Amino acid sequence: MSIHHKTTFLSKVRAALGHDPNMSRSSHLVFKSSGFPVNSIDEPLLQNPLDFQVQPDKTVTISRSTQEKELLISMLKTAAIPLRLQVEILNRSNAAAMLQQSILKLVSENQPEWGNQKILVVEDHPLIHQIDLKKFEKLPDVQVFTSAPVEHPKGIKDALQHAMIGITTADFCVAETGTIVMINRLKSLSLLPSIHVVILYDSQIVANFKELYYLLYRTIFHSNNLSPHMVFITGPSKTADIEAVMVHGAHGPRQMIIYIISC
Amino acid sequence: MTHITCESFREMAKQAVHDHRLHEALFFLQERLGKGAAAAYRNLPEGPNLRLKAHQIRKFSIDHLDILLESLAEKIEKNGGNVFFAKDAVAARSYCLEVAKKHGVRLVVKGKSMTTEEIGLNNALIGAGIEAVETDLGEFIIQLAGERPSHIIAPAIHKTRDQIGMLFSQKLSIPYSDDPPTLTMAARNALRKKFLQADMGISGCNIACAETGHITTVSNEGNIRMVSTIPDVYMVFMGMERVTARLADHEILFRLLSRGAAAQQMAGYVSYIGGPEHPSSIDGPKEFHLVILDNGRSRILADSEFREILYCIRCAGCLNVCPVYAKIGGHTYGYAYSGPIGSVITPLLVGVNRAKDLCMGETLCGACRNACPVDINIPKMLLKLRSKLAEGDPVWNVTPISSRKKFLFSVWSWIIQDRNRYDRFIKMCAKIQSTLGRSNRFIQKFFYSSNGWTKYRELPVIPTETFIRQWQQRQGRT
Repeated sequence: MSIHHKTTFLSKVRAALGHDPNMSRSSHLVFKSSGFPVNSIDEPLLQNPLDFQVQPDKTVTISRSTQEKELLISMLKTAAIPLRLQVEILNRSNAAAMLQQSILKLVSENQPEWGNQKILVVEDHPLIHQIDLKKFEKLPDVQVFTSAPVEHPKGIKDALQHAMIGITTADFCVAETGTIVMINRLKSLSLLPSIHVVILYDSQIVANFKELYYLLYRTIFHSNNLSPHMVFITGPSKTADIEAVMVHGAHGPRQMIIYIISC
Repeated sequence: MTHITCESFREMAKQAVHDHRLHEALFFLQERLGKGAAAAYRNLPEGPNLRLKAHQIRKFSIDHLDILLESLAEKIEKNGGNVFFAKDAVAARSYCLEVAKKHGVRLVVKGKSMTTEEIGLNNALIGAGIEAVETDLGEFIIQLAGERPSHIIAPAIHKTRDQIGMLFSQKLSIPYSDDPPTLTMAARNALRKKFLQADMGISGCNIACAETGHITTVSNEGNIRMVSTIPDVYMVFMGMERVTARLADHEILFRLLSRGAAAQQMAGYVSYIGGPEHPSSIDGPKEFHLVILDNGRSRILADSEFREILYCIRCAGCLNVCPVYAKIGGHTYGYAYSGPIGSVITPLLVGVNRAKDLCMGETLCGACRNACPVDINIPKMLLKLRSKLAEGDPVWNVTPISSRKKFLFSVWSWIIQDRNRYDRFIKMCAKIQSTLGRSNRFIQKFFYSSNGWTKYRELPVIPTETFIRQWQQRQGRT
């Protein structure tokens, strides 16, 4: 495919704006050097820098006082209510046991939507390794698959298509809106299962989208890197296309639970 | 190939104003979403004036559109994606069919995209023997019904639950139900199979980011995520104006979009996609295509009076407050875009004379401007379009529409510019009127009798002496 269509197209745009149609304008007019992240009207995202650390496993955490953390959790719980999003806070000391119990309950109380097997697909991540998956495998009608980034286990695609529960971690959680942010993670794992379970640390909670975008600039989005893909998930799927009546459970997961591990 | 029925506006409007079911549905929608959005703007931490900042951000992007499109294309290509610059609907459809043919595509799943509606893509796909399934619940419903969308965000809002229940029981072979959750579940099951079997996914783009090289999609159902994740081939259709310069712009734009569109703080799913997935990934797409569409937008861009309409982020906030839309519904506008945004952009895209009734048929109440998350001055542009229709315009190929009206107004203008001439005219009118008696039906008899203006209006009785003359007489001619 020739680039002729591109050249003619852009010439037309330049001419429409009153510029020389044949000369490409400099990108410096738009993309100033990245200092403190700003938007197109030169407004900084935050007034003060955020105290964050990038862990060895690439997780981004923010240092906050206990009071601040409590406030964020309260904001998150409030935002979650109208979304029918479940938020559970777990203490680090007994998180593993609590997770085990909760997910066991989830498995026993739910019926599979597609097929007759209760299929769990989990992300390969330390937070999820806390759960003793072998115990689940022993249950009748339950199958567990772990999705690995490169070496996919056999049958994983089919498992995902019939999954009842998908368990993942996330990169951030936005307290103001109850939004989970996942960057460069397996998309179908948070999309195909009937129930989506997310586990993350309370130090991964950001207050609002200003803080989120600030951290995105400072961590994953650099001009040189290949563009990561990203998804913001705010509660289970929903629609109001029939008489503007809100129905929870459209094409994405019909139920969503976030477990926050407080340290 | 694109189905345009703007010429039938008056006819369809006449029918629509008697459609009580439509009015009920739209009233409920506007109560919930129109008022909800206003409340949502008020509860923004920055207050409703954040919209003015968003306006500046959009202005900046449009003023630098050439740079942004180049940057976006470059980054996506670097990421292994394909970018096609489509000058018009024909070019865009051809490209899509070419790619579909290359991959032997039999089944396409589509996320809601007004741009694909604009270029008549579905008909082109069907014409090539490809099954194209709409997956947004509202679009799915109207596709089953063989209709066109009547609202940008809620395409099936004009249908009642029992109508949808009947439709599903017929087309999906399920027992009749008019319960929205049951109907939604039926669609969930029917469409899941399609998502998993599709060869190609097609969607629109909400607001691309030139700085990082991403397109973005926004939904609540998760259908667009399905469309962009499961099939091997994924194609995005983007109106060329739907791009912003910097990632940080999204922080403001997505918060406003969610409020304007559905009175939400944030939509259910926002996806950033910059190219294909790694070949070893379980997820798709393995091949990514971005089609950037002109189709008349560069002409709008070149006109500094109308350039502002390109700031639109297609949230449908204006539809949710428009009193005219509430009475006539989306189908009356005869094109992909309805409501106040449709009444400006449709004439500019398909022809001002052809779509004249769209911009003439608005009240200029200004509710749309207040509801717009990026503060677009729609009433100003409606007036500009009307003035072009009155005077004619060579740039936009507008021929004046009512030479009779224009003649009458120039006669009136001539009369009122001279005091004596005006007095003599009024005296003559008073004499004629007095011959008809007090209940004179003067206007109906002497002017367009079938015109809606004269049906409920009447000229008061003109006194034989004007107030000023009477006053001067009493004062004794000073």
